[in-house]
Amino acid sequence: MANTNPVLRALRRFGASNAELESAARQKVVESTGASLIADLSDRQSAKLRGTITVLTMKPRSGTPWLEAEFNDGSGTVTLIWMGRRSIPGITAGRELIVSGRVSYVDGQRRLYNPLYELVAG
Amino acid sequence: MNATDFMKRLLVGRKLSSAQLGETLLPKRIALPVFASDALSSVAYAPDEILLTLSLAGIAGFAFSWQIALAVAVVMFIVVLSYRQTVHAYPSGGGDYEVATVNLGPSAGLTVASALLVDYVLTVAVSVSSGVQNAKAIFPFIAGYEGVWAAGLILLLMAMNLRGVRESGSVFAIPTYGFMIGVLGMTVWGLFRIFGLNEHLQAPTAGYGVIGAPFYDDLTGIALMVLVARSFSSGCAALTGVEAISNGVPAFREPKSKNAATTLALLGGIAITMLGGIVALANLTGLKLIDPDGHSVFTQNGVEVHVEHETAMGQLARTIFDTFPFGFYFVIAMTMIILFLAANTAFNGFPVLGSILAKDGFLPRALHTRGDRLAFSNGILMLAMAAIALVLIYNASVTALIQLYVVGVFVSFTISQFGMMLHWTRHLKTEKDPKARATMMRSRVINAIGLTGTGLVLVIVLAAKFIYGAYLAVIAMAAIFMLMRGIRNHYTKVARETAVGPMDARLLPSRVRAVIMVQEVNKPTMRAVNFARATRASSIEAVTVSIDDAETRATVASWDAQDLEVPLKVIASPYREVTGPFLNYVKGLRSDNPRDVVCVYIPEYIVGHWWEQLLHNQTGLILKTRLNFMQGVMVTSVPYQLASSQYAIDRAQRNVAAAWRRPGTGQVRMGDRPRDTTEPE
Repeated sequence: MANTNPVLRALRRFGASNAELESAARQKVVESTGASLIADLSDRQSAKLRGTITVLTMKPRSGTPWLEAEFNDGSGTVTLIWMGRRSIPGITAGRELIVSGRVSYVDGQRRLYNPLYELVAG
Repeated sequence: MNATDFMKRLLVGRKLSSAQLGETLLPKRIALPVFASDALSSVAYAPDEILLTLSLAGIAGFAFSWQIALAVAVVMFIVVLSYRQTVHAYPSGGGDYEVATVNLGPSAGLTVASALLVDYVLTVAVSVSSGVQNAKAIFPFIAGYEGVWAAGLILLLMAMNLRGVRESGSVFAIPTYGFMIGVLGMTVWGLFRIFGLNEHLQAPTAGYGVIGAPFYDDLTGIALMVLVARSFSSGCAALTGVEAISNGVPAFREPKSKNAATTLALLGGIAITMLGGIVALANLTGLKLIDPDGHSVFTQNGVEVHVEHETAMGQLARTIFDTFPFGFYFVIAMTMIILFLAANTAFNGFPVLGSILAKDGFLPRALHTRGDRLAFSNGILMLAMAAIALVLIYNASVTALIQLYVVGVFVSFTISQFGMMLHWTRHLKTEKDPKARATMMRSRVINAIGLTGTGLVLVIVLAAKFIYGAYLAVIAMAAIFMLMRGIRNHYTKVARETAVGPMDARLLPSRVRAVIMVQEVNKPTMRAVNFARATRASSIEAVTVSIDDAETRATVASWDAQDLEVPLKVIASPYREVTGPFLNYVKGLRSDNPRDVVCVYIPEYIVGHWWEQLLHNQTGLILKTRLNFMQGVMVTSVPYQLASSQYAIDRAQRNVAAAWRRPGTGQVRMGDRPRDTTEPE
């Protein structure tokens, strides 16, 4: 909810939790990059996203190689899956990425299979 | 054996098993001093309080002392007679509390209980204070530090009581009998010297005149009534402690009721005799006391003088045994000791009452557990702390403390007498046997007289003392009443909330998701992983929070190297905290399905020393506490015993029986683990 009154906005920022402030800041970064917000994605949409990896899963060696990461941009979460890989250098928890690919919905969760990725420095 | 255990054993004695409980039963000759020292010892200060209150009317006031003593004796007679009925009708030791609860309902019982709890605390405070005041006759250096000395003595009493009632019983028997012999001997010898030898005995203060407060100057009308009432209420302190026997019936040997009733009669007879003797001697020797707050003063030849005077007991002993100093020291020493021991009556009564109340859910359950020596340790500690606070606040001034005193005891007397009347009325309805009916009728008449007497005294005491401090006691009683009711409500509410309903008990969680907290890959973690896998949860995953990149990389690498069958999730933590991201992650797992259960396995280091505890498990501890507040999250602690834990295990083994009760040493609760077992992993 955009509020035009600067005093009210300041007050809202003052009362917001750390997590809310963080989400807001991340979304601002997404907008400045020209990427889409995860919350606005629809099924089968091709999108460019910018966010950070919150949870990186390392699968056991016995199954199919499969690298899975939860990716958050402050508006929502999408699961990134790279097939045939157990790890990718540079993809670590907390890392900021710009990814693009086609979004698919599986069991109500958004997924991005084998996205193109770009490591953001810093 | 370590130092704390050694100190405790030195102070408290060896532990007694529950089977030894029966051995703490008391024969009459020990029960009399244990339960009666309070009622008897008040003879040491009740006459003082009567006299110094009367001194407010100047020299003429003392003329009333024997009438007041007589009135107190009559009340004592009535109360003892009534309580003999109670110990026969309610031998379980609930005393007034039980009588009131059974006959008048829980609120009346609670009123009695709060009144008695307050009075027990005051008994300790007043008796010890009075003992310290008397001790000043022999040890003048106490003056000025009465409060501190009294506090120290209460601590000593507490330690004795933690040892258990029997030991303290035999310790207390000798001085109590010594006191009886001393006071009765002094009375007999004094009367013999006055009437038999026609000697003219004069107390040290006999030569002084006394000027009182202006209000009481002309002893007529209202002023006279007020003065007599105040003096009488102070004198009624002699009655406190009578109810101790009715609370202590289970501690008597068989036949319990009969023995208790006999002891009660003995107590009444001795107390009345001693009180009468002291007041008579005080009159005959011209003994005078003044109000320590300065409302009355001594005069000599019409001029005000400031004289430090001793207690009535001290002055009488000095006068009567003027040619026999041993007698003087004996009486003073015994008075002093019995006053300290009188406090012991409360130490017997308070914890028992506390434990009964705790059993009924009015006080924390901890008060119901018996300690190592089979005494109700927690109640004893509570009583001691409250009494110490009082003596320190009032600097052990008997005259100040006695204003708060007595109200509670008469509240409980009155309510319990009323309860006893209802008790007999109820039983008379169904009783057919004419002989039994006659006995009950007689008992009911006795209790009716008791009710009238104690009720009247209660009104007088309240009216006479209210503004002088009794209101504080009333407030304390009300506060305790509310507190106990609150505790009861809480327990009831919790019991209702946790009761098993017809539906919910059978409902199994649909899925269990296991989450293992990983901080590094090591034996404790492996044990947690193995255990979690063995529980066959619906899904299983290990979770680590990435605070430091290099560390995380190492963890992930060694996890990979171990080739475990469990996926490892690395959670990003941009603000370098573990708890927040981990809790968020678990919360996310939870929100999917309300019937899912998340089971979090936390590896825990078991260490041998408290300082090692500071170095380990801190994150796990915080996580555990926070996770316990989440719905549908179970926390499993997977212990890993470090080599140093052997110290704690040894310690626990030495204390198998008590380890569960002691918070400090209970870190390891595995007493029977053999010493040479080595870790399997």
